[in-house]
This record gives sequence, C-alpha cells and structure tokens, in this order.
Amino acid sequence: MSEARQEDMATIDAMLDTPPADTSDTPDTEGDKVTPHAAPDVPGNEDEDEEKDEEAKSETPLTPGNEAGYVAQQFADKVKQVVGGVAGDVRNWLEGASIPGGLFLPISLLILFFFVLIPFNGYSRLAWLWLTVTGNAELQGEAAAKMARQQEMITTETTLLQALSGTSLSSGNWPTTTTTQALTTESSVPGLSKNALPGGPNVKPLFTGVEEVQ
Amino acid sequence: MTGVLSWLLSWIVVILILYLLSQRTWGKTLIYYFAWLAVIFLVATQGKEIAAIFAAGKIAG
Repeated sequence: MSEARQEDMATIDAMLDTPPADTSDTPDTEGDKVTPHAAPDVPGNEDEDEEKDEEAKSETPLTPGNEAGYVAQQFADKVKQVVGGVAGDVRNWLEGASIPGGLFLPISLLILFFFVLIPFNGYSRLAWLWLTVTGNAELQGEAAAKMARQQEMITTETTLLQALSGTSLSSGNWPTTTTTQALTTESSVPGLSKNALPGGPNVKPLFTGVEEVQ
Repeated sequence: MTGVLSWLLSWIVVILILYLLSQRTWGKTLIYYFAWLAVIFLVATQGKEIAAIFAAGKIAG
C-alpha cells in the first residue's frame, strides 16, 4: 500500500473520534477485534497487536505450571477447532445430499422385509399370518383360549343342527369334531408351508355344516 | 407387565428420537441413509430366505 493512502487513512482515523452507530455493515468476525477504518496490512496495526500480546503474556508470567496450562489450552483450542471444522463439513454434506424417494421408501422396505424375510419359529411373520388365516396354525394363550371357546360354540351349534336334521344321537353322547389341526409336515422351504397350499396334505376342510344340513 | 412397559417405552423413545431427527435437514438425510444401510444388511443376511421364496415361486428355476 502506498504511503499516501496510509496517511489518508490515518487522517480519517483521527477525524473520526467516535465509531459509527450503525454496525450492520461491519463484517462478522465472530469476536475478533477489527479496527473499523484501518487497513489490514498497515505495519502500525501489527505492532499494536504484538504489543497487546506481549502485555497479555506479561500479566501472567510463565511458570512451569502456567506454561503447561497454556500449552494444554492451546491444544484444546486446536482440537476444538479441528473437530468443529469436521463436524461442520459433515453437516454441510448431509444438508446438501439428496434423498431420492424420501424417507418413505427405505422405511417401507424395511417394514416389508421385516414381515417377509425374518423367520420366527420357522416361518416368517407373513407366513404365520397366512397359516393362521387358512386354519393351519392356531394361537395360544388367553386370547387363543377365548377364540377356542367361540369355536367350540360354533361346533356345538353345528352339532345341534346336525341333530335336528335327523342324525341319530344317543342320549348323553354328543358327537365332537376336531377344531384344530396341528402342523404335521415341515416344509422344505422356510417361510412357506406345504399345508397352506391348495390340495396340501393337511388342508383343513372349510365349514360345511350348512351343506350337510341341507 | 414391567417388560411390556419397558418395551413400549423403548419404542416410544426411539420413535421420538427419529421424529426429532427428521425435523432437521441433516437428520433426515442421516435417517435416510441409515435406513438404506439397514435394508442392505437385511437382504444380505436373509439371502437364504430370499432364495427360498424365489425357488418356491419358480422364478429361479
């Protein structure tokens, strides 16, 4: 920078006793001290900075303990700066990366594969649902007991209808029918059951009580 | 009952964290790519089941 410009800037600094009230045009320096109207590469400013540093150092004399603390502080600041920089880069990359299909696509695939692919007691959850719906598997527990009682009531009603239709019954000897049928053959294909296929070995016949009554 | 409550609370916490993450741009991207990673792992570890399904459907011969 030319000497004439340095002199001009020094004159301007001298004329401006108070800093401007509006600081919206000042750059965001995040805490760094910047002289508003001073050229950055003026030799006098560097001297001032060095003097300030020397003053700060002279206030806290370097003893062995202080020196170690100073080095540790410098190291911590350096680590913080590096980690913050890396985290900022990662965040910027994540914010700029595209997500084709959105969150719906991978999460729906995860749920679908969870039901279709992951076996549970030999069958996938979808296969268990199919086996249960087709009557080739049964639930256990309190809910299953309740369902069994309902099934038993249906069976009793069916038996009564059969009795009313003319089937001979001896007193006190009510006929019973099988309401559940256990899986007897293991499928060679995990996740699928031979019993669930049409015409399979253990396909349970559908309810035919009405047809028998007629 | 305690086990059921723990299971339920755990899932609520997980879903809450995922929801809060999805409210951020970077969090949404994070969930997105981790979900795809989970899909890849699931397919890679369940290859036997996938092959069985294709074989049963006569797709793979």
